[in-house]
Amino acid sequence: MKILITALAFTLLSTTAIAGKHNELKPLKIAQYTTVGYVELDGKRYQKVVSNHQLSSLRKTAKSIGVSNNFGLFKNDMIQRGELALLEKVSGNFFISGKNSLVLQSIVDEYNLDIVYSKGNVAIVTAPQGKELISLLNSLRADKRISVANLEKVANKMHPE
Amino acid sequence: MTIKLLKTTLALAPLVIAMPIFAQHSDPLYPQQWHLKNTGQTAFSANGGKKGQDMRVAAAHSRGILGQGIKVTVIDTGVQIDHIDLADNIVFGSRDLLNGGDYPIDTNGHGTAVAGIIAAVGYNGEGVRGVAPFASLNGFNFLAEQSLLSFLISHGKGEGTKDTHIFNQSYGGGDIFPRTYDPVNDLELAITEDAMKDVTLNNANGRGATFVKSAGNGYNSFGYGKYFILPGNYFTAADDGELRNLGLPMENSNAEISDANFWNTVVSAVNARGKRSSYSSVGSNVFMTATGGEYGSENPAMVTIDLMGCDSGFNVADGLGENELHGGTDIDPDCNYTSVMNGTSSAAPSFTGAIATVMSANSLLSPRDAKHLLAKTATKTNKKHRGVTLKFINNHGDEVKYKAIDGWKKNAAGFKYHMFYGLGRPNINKAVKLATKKGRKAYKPLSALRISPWNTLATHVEIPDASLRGGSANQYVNIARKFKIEGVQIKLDIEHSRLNDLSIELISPSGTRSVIMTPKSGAFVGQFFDETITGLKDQLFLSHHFYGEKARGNWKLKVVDTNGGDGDWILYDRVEGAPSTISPENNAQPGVITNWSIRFFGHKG
Repeated sequence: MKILITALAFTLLSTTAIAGKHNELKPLKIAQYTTVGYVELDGKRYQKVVSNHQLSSLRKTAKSIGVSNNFGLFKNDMIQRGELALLEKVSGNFFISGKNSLVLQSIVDEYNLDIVYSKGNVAIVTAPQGKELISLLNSLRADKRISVANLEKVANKMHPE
Repeated sequence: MTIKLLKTTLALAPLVIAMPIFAQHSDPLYPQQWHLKNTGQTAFSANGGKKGQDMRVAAAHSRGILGQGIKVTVIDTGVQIDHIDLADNIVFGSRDLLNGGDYPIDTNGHGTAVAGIIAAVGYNGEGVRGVAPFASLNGFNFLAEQSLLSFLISHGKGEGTKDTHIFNQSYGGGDIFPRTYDPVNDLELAITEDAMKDVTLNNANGRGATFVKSAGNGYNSFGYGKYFILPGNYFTAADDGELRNLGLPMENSNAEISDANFWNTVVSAVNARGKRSSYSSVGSNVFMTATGGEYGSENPAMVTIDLMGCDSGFNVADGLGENELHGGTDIDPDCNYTSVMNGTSSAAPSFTGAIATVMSANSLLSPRDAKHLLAKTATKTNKKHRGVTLKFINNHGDEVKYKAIDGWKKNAAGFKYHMFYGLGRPNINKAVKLATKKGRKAYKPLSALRISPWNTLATHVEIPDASLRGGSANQYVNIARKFKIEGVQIKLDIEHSRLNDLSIELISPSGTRSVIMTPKSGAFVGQFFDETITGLKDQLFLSHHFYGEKARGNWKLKVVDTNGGDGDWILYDRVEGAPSTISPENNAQPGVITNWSIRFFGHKG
């Protein structure tokens, strides 16, 4: 698909003029993030990002922080897929479904997970602190007793209307 | 106490409550609350509204029907539960979802203002009055912590919400990517829907609950992440004598999967002149409209409570309109109130207050019954509005006209519907009157809610480019003859490389047409940034247009491609203040409908 993306600056509309003329286009102040690695999730490549504020404190404890392709994913990590996508926080929870609640309980015991909510054959489970989550997700998906396993990514997409 | 005496006492209870109240009769800012009684007051803005364009609640309040006994949960930025004009209505169960505490800290003020519209304490000599001024409230700061667990706790699956009758959700998140409705593999969706269904049917000891949600503020533009999505002529329309986006909505609320969810009651906004609020998103998923106002400087916004103190809430928020009340005045020296709150965020709590008031009139009413009574008695606001006609050049080079949004149209069940206003604006007085009829004319609650299975049709129907002819696919739905519709859901597969060109219509066996997706919507512009998106796959839509009609019969889906030329959009980076135009090429191949499914929510009647 061919699309043309042109900076509208060429059409003689300066940013200042736009802001002054169109009050509803309120500027947005957001925290700045730096990409520190990449992870593969659900067959898609995500940037792993750290807020610049957090990065400066990390730099105090590490000599250098470079971009890595083998970073792993842990609870509270922030990820993003492409420029348009929303920033998402990994909660450390998984959504899983299986044959029934007994099967789910046996899975939870085996993988050392905790159930935080369940109904019927579906549950929200949480991983132990410090556990790398992509390898755990892959293990859950490879388990034939589990029909579906999703890793929770919280985008805080909803905003006051 | 004998049963007869008990019944008499209960029947008189509202009057007993009412008498001391009306002896006091004082909420100093009430005369400016146009949404409760519109006298044409300015509400601290430059211009007044139009007399009578309000929620029609004054008579119900005078009868002592004030929302008493009804519990509302405000799911928002938090709620200042010790606010001087809220505290007496606050009950058990609030929670801060960030720290687990029982005070849902609101650093924004939005949730507190929303709570005030619903149930600011009335007749107490302080500030303002809620639409349901004696309803009970609790609150959650879900917008600060939006995990699924937080959703469940705040939406009926936590201790504090098991007895809630109405959940107010003055929030939304406009989408730009098609999203597949697939509860089998999308477990977050499955858990959410299952919980909402269960709570709707069984909460509050079986009386049930409802989830009220705002339609969005995206008619002219809407935000997605750090971007605003704007029509191609956003900056030039005024100079060129055009309407922005040719008068069509940028955000059709049906594009957000949670708003196409039957368990959400989606509400659009009207202003103090009885017309669509300039910003309000619209769609066939809108159940009804309610008061949201404008911006408060030129034209009235809502007069409600604000975080207490002059250094917080709307007093210090950037970019809001200013008017006489805002910032602290003689009438509000401590800055506890605001008159610049607006949005479908205000319409949702106005409607929530309406449901609470009607429910409080008759203990046999479920929230679903209250909604039904409000729909039945609704005001057809802005009744002369003709809808929106789109002109385009068809594939023969002729200019043709396409009715993209109808004016008010009566459906086969006698309910009038308008995509801007749903089934209309509440007339609470009339709904209460119906709810309190006695004897043979007493209101009979709706029979149990029924949900049909999905009826699916695999097909291959071409959608000719730029042609009014469109592509149509029919399917016969064999369902009980007496099944009366409350809502219709569609799942749709379409192959098309420029989805925004499409207008999608659903036509009932009775001939009622509902445009379930308007053309030129910004809903699917994400398609132009992801080459894997070749169309819609199980895209969910909802319509309330067929309310009360019979479900059985031949249903027709019609998809019209309305554009064979350019199709510009602007992506406006809010951080950099930099706009970029996107000019996707027209689809080289005609679109194709490959599959569509339909199901019904309703009752035997």
